[in-house]
Amino acid sequence: MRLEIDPQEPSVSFSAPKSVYSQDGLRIAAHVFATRAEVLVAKYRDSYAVTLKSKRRSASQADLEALAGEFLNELLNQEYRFLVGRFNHKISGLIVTQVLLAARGGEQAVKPPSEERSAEFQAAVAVLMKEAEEEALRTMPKRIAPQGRPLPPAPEGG
Amino acid sequence: MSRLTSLPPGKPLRPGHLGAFNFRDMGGWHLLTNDWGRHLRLEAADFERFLSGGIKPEDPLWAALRQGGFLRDQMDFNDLASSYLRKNSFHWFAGPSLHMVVVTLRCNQKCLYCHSSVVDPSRTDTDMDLETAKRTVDFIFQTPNPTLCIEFQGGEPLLNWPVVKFITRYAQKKAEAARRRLIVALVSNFSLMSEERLDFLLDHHVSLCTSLDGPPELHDRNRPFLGGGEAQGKVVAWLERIQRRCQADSSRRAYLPGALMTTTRFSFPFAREIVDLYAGLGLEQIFIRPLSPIGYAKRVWSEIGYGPEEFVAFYERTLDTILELNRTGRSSLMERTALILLTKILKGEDPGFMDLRSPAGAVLGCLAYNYNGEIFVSDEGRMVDHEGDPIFRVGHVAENDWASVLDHPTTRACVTASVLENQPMCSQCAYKPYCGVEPVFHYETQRSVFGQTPSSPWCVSHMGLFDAIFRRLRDPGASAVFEEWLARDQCRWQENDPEPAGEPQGGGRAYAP
Repeated sequence: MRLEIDPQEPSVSFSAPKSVYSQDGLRIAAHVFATRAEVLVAKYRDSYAVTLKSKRRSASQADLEALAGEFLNELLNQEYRFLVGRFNHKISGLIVTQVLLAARGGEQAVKPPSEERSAEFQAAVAVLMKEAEEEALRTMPKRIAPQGRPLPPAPEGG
Repeated sequence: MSRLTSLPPGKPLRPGHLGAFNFRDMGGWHLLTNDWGRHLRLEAADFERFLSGGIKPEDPLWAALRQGGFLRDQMDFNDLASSYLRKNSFHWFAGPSLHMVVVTLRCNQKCLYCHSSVVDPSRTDTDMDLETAKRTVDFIFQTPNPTLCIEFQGGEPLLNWPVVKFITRYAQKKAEAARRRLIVALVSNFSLMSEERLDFLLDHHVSLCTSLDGPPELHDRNRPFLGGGEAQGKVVAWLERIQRRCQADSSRRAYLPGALMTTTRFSFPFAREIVDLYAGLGLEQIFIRPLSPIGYAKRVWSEIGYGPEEFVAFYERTLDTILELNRTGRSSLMERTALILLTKILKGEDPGFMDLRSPAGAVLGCLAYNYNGEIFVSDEGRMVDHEGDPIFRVGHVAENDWASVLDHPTTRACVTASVLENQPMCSQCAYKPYCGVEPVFHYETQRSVFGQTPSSPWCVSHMGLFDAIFRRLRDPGASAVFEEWLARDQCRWQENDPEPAGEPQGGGRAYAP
């Protein structure tokens, strides 16, 4: 695949044939790359013209080639995923429906037993709360230490 | 070896008689698996004979192929379906069983890999208050699973001891009223343990687990105290003390404490010493766990992290050391990762390990509750939030009910993304019947809950672990040790146990962290 690299921008452009790649795949891959590059797509008859504008201030030719390569890998991943998803949609749909339905635990929400509304139960819980409050007052620190500045965001890619 | 393997070239293939299966070229032999959870190991020549229809009813392999569901016209569907049901029992579970409650973000240690230890012990504004604690327990009891496990995490949970005590007592009271089975577990560094606290925990049947990364030079480097001091010595001293207390009372033997190790780059030279330490302490199990580049660990990955191949090499080295100790009768220490995989492979059961389920255990099997009442799909999801990205937040104990958490778009996304049938490569992988993918891990490493399996470190490390186990299953010595472990292991999850309970059961530790 031919890559057009502009180290000044810095950006890399290439053409993605419509016979292989879909607009949905491009859109999802663009989301996955949102923190690394701005993705610009122009639509032509047989292909998409894709430009990746790196979010790094300086990116070498090798960096931009790698960026394009990884984006194309992600694009292939999405197309392959669509294929696998279409092929297995019946069984995966059944599994997802089954687990979500089972996890709900029936049509009615779980209600607390009537015993919990009894005066005896309520009184016992009040005692637990009171004891915990007293222990907290007796044993927990009263002062909150001044905190340092919050940590900066984690770097991309670990 | 490549993670993708292909059929032998140029050989005749007669697919008409083949049942659906996935396979893997293991170098000289092939592993066959199918969705029923059955597996078969075939020598290369037998595999080719099988593919070309050369194995006839009189062949000794015929029965094994038939029993495994690998022959299309010879399937015993009742038997295979019961196998599928047992292996995927969690598909029928009524909601999450494991509820991880973070009672404080404060900690007196500053572990190299920990997301939460950045909060100073004096910062009580990151403690769960009593009202939130009560609402958290009330929310947990809204979820429909008949067996509930509340696991205290942090931070260091003992720093908010009054709330640990309150939740334990309140939850047990509710379990008794609702006749539901309840397990309470505490994960602590034990440094703030006291005899009085231990009395309470043992009297209330709380399972105890700590972190023990290895000998002092490793543990103290990975998990230093704020302000310095010997952390490992304290952990070991309390472990031994709790062991003595439990062993002195037969009703408490089921509550012998467990320990977890986290592997950093610094662990690699200490495989032998780590195993010797665990064996010397008489611990039943060691859990060789990889570090995940999630949350705070992601910041320091270049210093303490490693590639998945490095972890697998360390795992194999350590596992072989443990197997050797078992074979020679010097120790009966079991390795937890191996047990999880073996339970799936040999027993055909789900061992309750949330990360290796399809779909993953996020929300369906577990929920995490932050000190402020926020609900997350898992503890890893909470770690991501701690770093400033709330994507895995699915509710709040004061505002949401169970149905709305289950209906949350993030829940749906995590469930859909972790069904292996939807995943490129996974859907054709020989390890699919036993494996799973973790949406939070992939979001953190590959910026998508679906991930990109062919380049995923998760996939590399898990395929390496499965390879390691299946190769050792061909060795009669290792296989005998594995069989003995499975017979001895009582530490399996008991989700959906229909037996109701008021007071927690003393008959066995149902929870294996």
